[in-house]
Amino acid sequence: MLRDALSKTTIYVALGIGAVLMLLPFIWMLLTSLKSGNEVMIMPPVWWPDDFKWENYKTAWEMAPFGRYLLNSLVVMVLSTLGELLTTILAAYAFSKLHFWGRDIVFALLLGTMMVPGEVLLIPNFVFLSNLGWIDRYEALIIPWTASVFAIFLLRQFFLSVPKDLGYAAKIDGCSDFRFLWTIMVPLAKPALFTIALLKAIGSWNAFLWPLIVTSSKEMRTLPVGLTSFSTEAGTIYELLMAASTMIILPMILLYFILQKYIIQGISKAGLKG
Amino acid sequence: MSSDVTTTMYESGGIVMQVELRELSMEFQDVIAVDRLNLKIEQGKLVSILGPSGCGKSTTLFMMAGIYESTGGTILFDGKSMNGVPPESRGIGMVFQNYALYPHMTVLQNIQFPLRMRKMPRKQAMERALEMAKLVQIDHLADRKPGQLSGGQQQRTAIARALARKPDLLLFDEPLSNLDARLRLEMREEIRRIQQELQVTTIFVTHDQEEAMSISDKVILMKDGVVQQYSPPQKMYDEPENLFVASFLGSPPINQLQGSISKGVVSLAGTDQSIPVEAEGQNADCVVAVRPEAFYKAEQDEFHVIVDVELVERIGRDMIAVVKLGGTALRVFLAHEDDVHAGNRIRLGIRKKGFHLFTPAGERIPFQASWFGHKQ
Repeated sequence: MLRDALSKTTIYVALGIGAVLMLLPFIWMLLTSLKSGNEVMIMPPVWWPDDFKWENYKTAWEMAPFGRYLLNSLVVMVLSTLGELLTTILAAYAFSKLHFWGRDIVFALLLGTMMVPGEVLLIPNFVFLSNLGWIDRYEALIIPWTASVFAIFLLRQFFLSVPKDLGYAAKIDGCSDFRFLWTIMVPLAKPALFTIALLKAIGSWNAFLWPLIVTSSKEMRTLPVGLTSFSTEAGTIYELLMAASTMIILPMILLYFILQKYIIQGISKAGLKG
Repeated sequence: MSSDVTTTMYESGGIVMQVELRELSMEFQDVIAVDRLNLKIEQGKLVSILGPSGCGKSTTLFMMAGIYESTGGTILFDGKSMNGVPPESRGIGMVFQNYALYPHMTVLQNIQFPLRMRKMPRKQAMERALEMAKLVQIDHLADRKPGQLSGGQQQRTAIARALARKPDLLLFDEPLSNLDARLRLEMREEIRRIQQELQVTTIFVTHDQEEAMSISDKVILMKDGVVQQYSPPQKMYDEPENLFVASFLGSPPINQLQGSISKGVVSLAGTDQSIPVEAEGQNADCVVAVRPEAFYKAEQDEFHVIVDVELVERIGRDMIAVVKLGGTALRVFLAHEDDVHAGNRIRLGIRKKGFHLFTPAGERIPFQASWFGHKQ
């Protein structure tokens, strides 16, 4: 009894410390966003603002065309996520359930590309896209991100764990490969697909470097890039930057809460023994 | 014997299928899994393919299903070659070892799936699925998902799905091996019942001899991709064509003694005892194979061998004695009332039924023995 209580306490204390450490930057962001310009710079720093400056949010929103940025971010996020799901499902099925010459070599090569650091690809990709004339257009923001080797790998592993007999049964039942993929495999892979979609959505929403490089006009900027508006030659306006950041992360937090139960939901694989 | 109800319920194309294999072969890389099979399976029969793991029995079944493409030979359904015919056009239903139910669909949706794939109207498919669910007695579970069913119920669902399209040929791939002992017994009787009601040609793959013996009209016994014997189960047990068949069937297994044939007798290796048997061969080595139940406690005045009792086990109605003859341990069934104890030296007679001679390579040796019929 005592030992149980002790070990429980230890676990909760450890988890509690972890949670506080994780949340601290967010709390700092939130509090800073409500401070006045003087309070932000004060030394030693203060945690709690004297006076909650809610108008920071309004000022921040009006300082740049955030409505347009929000639209761009949403378009890019939705389209690149859908695109990635489509390519991932098709590729993962091919690499797990279809047999064709050179399949494993191609897959190994794809995995190999994961070793290449993304930064190395910035310039070649940029040159490539500029030759296509896609710079400063949605194509540049979306199309390079509609495939992910990691996602293909993740889904392929899941597809491999589905017993062969299920495919055989479907074949005997008169189900083509394509229908089998969409009516059996995809519904089974729902949790894996939610994970892939969520990772993609967050990555796309937060992407900074690539949108910064491939866009030049205000009309094509996304939210994270829009945050640079608060860095001026005269310095950075931190309270407004933090207010804008708070507004930007809210949708992601909401999305996570909504999808959480699907991600955690176990895969009901019973009905497939062995 | 099939009642009117079931005949109206189950009108397959009107034909029950006859299956014929001609020189059917399957090679995987450099392994020959199935080696030139030739056999015919008659309409409406339940035939088991039995054999140790890796003998090619499942491969044969998968070739009949069209899942594997054979590397040689032909499969004929009612005289039509099935080469190149895809699984869904072969008129078959199949039940898999792990059931292979679609986990995200309910029982009823699973059973309907093959019908919906063939574009049967929704209402009709639903009616048919319910019929099938009733036939296998799971209609009360129609809205459950496979994960909420027991192994036996999942198996019934899989059978209903296989039957939904009213196949001409039903294939079972080790369907009972994931069930516990009692359910296995129940389900195999159930499969037999359904098969006899519907009179559908059925092929049943198993590694369990008892399963195969109990439900089949005929058994195909395979080893290393080759058919060893194809006959009704009782005949296979009573008249094994080779030593492998004799030793594969039966529990406890058949007793084997090394011997050599000389004039009118087979002398047993390691003893000074012999058995009066007329067989071809001079000083030829042979294997004497005797079923445990072919032994009996003999009188002084008839042919017998003398053995030492090592151990007596009484299991319910049976008595099994482990006895030593020369250096070889034999298992024998004795009558319950026989007064036999460990340490005794007893006389054992041998009945004709259950006594076999084979060459060391396992081929059957024909023989005659004068003591048979003397006192059986």
